[in-house]
Amino acid sequence: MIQNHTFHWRRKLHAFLHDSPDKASGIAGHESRAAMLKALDQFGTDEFFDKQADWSASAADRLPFPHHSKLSVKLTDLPSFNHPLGGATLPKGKDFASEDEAFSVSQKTRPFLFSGDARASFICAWRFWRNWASDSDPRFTSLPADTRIPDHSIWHHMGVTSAFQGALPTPEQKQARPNEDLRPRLLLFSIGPVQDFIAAARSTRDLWSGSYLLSYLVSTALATIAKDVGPDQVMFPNLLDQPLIDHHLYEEIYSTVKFDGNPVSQGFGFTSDPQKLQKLLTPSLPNRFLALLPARLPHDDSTVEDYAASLVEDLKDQLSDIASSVARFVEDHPSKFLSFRRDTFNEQVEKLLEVHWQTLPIPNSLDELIGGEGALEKLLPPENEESGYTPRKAIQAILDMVKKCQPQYPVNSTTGWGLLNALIAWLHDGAKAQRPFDAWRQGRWHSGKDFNKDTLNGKEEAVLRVEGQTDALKKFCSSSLQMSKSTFKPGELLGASTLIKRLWHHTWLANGEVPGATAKQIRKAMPMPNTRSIAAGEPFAQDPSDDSCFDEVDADEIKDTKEKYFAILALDGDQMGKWISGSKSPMVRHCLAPKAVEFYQTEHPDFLNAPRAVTPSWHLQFSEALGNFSLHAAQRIVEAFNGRLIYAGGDDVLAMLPATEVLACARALRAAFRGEKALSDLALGKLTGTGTKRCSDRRTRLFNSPHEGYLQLLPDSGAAFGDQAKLLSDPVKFPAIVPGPAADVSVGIAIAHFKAPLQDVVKAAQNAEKRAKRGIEDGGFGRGAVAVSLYKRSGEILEWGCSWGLKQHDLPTSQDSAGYTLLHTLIAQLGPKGGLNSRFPHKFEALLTPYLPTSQTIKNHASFEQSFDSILLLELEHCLSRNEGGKLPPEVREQFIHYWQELSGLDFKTRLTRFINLLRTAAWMSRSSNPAQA
Amino acid sequence: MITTHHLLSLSPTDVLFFRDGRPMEGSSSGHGAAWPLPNVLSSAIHHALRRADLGDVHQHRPARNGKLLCQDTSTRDREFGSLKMAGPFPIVAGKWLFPRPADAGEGKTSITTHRPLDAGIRGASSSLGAKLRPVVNTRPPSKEPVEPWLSVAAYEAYLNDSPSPDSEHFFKDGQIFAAEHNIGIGIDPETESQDGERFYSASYLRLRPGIQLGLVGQCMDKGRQGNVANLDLLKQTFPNSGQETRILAGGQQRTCTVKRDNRETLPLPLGAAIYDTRVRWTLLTPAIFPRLEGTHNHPGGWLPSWIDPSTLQVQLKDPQASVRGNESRESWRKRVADLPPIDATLVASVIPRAIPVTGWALSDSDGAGNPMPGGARATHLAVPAGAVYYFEAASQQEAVKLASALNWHGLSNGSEIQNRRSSLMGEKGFGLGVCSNWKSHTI
Repeated sequence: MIQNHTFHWRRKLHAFLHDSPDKASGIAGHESRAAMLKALDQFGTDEFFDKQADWSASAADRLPFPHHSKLSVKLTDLPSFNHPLGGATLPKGKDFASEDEAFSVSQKTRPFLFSGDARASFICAWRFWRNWASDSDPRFTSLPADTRIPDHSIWHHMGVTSAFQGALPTPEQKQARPNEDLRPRLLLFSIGPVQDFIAAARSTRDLWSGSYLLSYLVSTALATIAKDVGPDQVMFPNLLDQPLIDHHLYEEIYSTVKFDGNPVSQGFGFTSDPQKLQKLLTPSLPNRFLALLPARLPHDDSTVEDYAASLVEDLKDQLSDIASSVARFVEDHPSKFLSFRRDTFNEQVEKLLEVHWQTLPIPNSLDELIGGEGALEKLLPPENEESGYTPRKAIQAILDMVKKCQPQYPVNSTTGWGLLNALIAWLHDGAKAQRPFDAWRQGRWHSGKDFNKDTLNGKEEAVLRVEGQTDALKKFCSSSLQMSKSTFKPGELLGASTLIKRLWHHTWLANGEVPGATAKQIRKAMPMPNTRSIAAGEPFAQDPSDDSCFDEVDADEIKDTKEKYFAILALDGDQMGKWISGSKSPMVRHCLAPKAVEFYQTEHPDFLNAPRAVTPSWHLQFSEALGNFSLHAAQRIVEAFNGRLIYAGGDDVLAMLPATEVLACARALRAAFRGEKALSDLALGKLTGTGTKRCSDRRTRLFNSPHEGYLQLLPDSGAAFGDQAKLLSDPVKFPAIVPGPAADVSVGIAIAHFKAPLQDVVKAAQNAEKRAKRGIEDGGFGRGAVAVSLYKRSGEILEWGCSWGLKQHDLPTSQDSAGYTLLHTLIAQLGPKGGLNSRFPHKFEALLTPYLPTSQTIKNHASFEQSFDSILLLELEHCLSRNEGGKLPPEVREQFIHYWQELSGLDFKTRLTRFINLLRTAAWMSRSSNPAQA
Repeated sequence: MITTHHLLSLSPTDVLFFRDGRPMEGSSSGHGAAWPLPNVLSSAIHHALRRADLGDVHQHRPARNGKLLCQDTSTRDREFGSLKMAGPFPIVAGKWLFPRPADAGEGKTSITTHRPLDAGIRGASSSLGAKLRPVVNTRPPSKEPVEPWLSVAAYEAYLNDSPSPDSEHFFKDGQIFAAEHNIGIGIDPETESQDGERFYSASYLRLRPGIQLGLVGQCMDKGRQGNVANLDLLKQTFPNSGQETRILAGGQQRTCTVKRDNRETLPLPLGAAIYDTRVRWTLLTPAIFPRLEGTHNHPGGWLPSWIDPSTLQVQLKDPQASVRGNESRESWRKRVADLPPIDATLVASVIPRAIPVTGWALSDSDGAGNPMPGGARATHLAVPAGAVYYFEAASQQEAVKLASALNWHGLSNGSEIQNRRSSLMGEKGFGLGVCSNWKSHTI
């Protein structure tokens, strides 16, 4: 078996090296260049690479093109590479002077290990080559695998090929089990609960901790796959550049590896570089993954079903180990403040996780999947254009095209990758429909103090009861537990899940799990501010580097009189499920090279308007785009606005910000998600100062984003690159893909007093985000929108929202909507440097409110709605002409009318209410800019 | 018309407060805007009976699982043991509404959208294991929220697989109730005024105008000396048929007025005629299946206690054969115990996320003289209303027997509740379900 395992990694490496990264620079000689690159590896005959892997990967990622004599495209003919989500292109850059120039980059950047560790050799090639080549020559970032369809890179193709190689049955397996079904399998795996688990939180650390724990647990299952079969086997999320995966591979792989005599371990620097530790502590993995696996695993010959079941056990064991560290910690600190029930704790831990998985074999032929008798696709629900559920459409378009344009090679079953993806997701949901749970107890009800519930979830019985006086307890937390003095509060009752979230970063992460990282370093990397400091725009008001001053200081302890309202920002990508399923794929014409478009325009024009099928490379790039947004952009942007990031997992961001900054921050996050050119102007500010004074300078440019859909960091952003990076460079010299202009986000913002219960404010922000996504007919803003809920201390709740931008052909644009523009302008104008008096919104509101109960008879009059534009302007002029109004440039006055017109289509009352609420929102959001009101 | 089942419609006089297990103090807001669980309003009716000062009420010794907990014949301190409740269900303009089945997942219709997969795909497997089939969506997936409440007509269309009625038969939560947030003050019990330090916030349940909480109740009592249960305590407590009586419901001493009514058949949906070997059981109310340890080990939770956990075979007996004739209790019990179980197997299920059931108890004794401390009640997890179980029986006859054993109305025509298939608190309204036929999803 060990020999088979070595073969497994050698064959994967062989498959990975089957193409040279510079292949596109000259197709004719690419095989000999690839041969030169792998000559050093001296692959034996048993370490062959199965051509089937290349065919399967190519068929999955590309189209069944005609013979190259009919259609071929040179790299020099290509003006740009296409963004996989559509709507953007990345200019190709200067052509290579020669194939040799390109080849020399491949050669000099190829990670090559002289050690005989086949697994380490493969994993290092997969991990470092792309980054090193891109950093050396930015043109290498997106060199296409096939110049006819430049919407995915050669790097993706190399990885997908090695993944297929790793999933194909070996000759040894075929010989040993001639009658067994050894087809490669897809595995879809998910864990939960997610929303409820994360939302039960008292502090920002609880929020981060719950989210990170789920991400961490998923990462352990993914790391197991990476170590047993290969990190390239995971198709979603993309494990490349995932700090948690690097961390899990560190001990077995990276710590043992040297390049040019330098240990690779030095380069990761999780403990030496706070920014890298911060990334490691960012929960950036989704709660589900899709992997391509062999029917029998190479390392132990187990079936994929047994392997999936063992992953579940691994996850549960990991959680159990984490829980045990928490329990031991509590038991090792006996005190009068804490009473702990270990038995109940253990029982609750056992029932904490819900895990579901589904496997599906990749059919031998496309007929088994589509078109043939009893084809699997017939199981899927009927397509529905309106809801965007069209899993068969892309593959059917390919089959129709193939009838007219004879392909060079027969159509492979993996051409139906998108359909397989839809099928496994559908089956997984079917298995998940049953949420099995064990009973929590026997027989009848018992009652008593032992059954008091967890303070935050109201469901688990408390396993830890916290008692004692506030001051003594704080002293106990900081002196004895060596933790934040607000770790526990008197009277708190904690169930197992809350207790783990409260302590595991201290008992597990800082206790050897991150080698070399101390509790203090972890606190420094992820300091959790209190709501009061955030409200005051002092994100580092407690200095985590000061041992005597721990984070999470009680908000009550700060006695100053600064701004008291803070905001929670909840951002979520729009229709991510539809993107992943391919319902929102761009048209084929947007993915092809211009010459290929010309070809199909002649041969089969309808095909150009068909949706591009979902492919493995598409999934990898989509995940990569989300990862780049969360790892490179989200934290920098939030901190630029003096906020603190709680988590950024893919398309999901939760952050705390000063109420005055939250809207601009949300806009900048949207710009980063879409890779808008405006990003470089929208997100200004790097952290300066030390200790409690550390805050954004509000002027340093962080991003360079000349091409939509991609972003680059500027050196001042604190990015690691060049010599300073040591091992892996941030995207400073080369562009990093983000979801791009075809995608959009919805943002929910809840603004509340710093004393409001945090979990309620978070819930309110999440509800606002749902409102932003809800259809206009249901009182929402129809996605691509921002919704604000303002919870005043008096109990009044103010709600407002608007679309982010104008839409063109139903696609979002970067041009701000009139609603957003007006609000943004008003906030600026109401500030100390603006021309408006702070009373202006209230005065204008007072003039407009009497129109709300306007009788139906008047409203029904044909001229009323048209006249209201003029009425608005008259009232505005009247308001400005008074002392409590102020001055406004003429172009700003027009913005009121534009917003009013943007609201057309709504009934008059809703329209005017939204208009008035914008004024009220502007008044509130700008209040701390005005010291008189703060 | 003589019926012992009463329909009670509760109209709140103001907001109601049905709190979950989270404490409500300091910065923790009270979460009290949830639709109440059956045990909460069953307790409200129980308290109403107690407050009614009925006089001639049977008093019995505490017992559990058919065994007396106290041998002392003078300890007769239990009353209203015959109270059986069901609900609450929303009543909108006189129409009773029921929770949407989990396999009818499309808005504004009651058509069945999810079906068990007929046969597995060769080479595919899942965490469900080999014995259970996935229940797959036969409609394009959608994240659009669906109305959680259905009228009886819509529900019966679902059960009979007949065309769905129009959209007026489907109701969103927002059409039935809303959450109302309020700030409250701490009261000093001595001075009965603000205690000078505490504030709290809470959310309350506000029923929309004209909406009521519907309950079905029965409480036939033998009286202090009688042998026959012919005293209708609900009728005595709520004597004013057609008028209203006030009771306390939920927390914070909130009140409802109660109107009692009677009907020949109860307003709950009736099970469909079973014509095949397949039976689908859909829960109208939550059900609790606790863990069993001892002679028969059973994990409970999502899996009903009357299903064998290793074979998924049904363990219930034919209800027709179980009817007690002119036989002694002992011989009847022995005869029923010797009956073979209905020949049917669980093959699939759709179980939405479990709901915690908890509460608060006053200190008491367990009847055997052992003190029971007051305080929070232990958490039980319940299978929520709307959950669906799919069975395959050996024959159509066995399927009919199974439906009779699982339908809330049992062998009756809907005039009484015969089956409460929750292993805990069935008498309080847990475990009511209704059966229909099901089809699998196939190519």
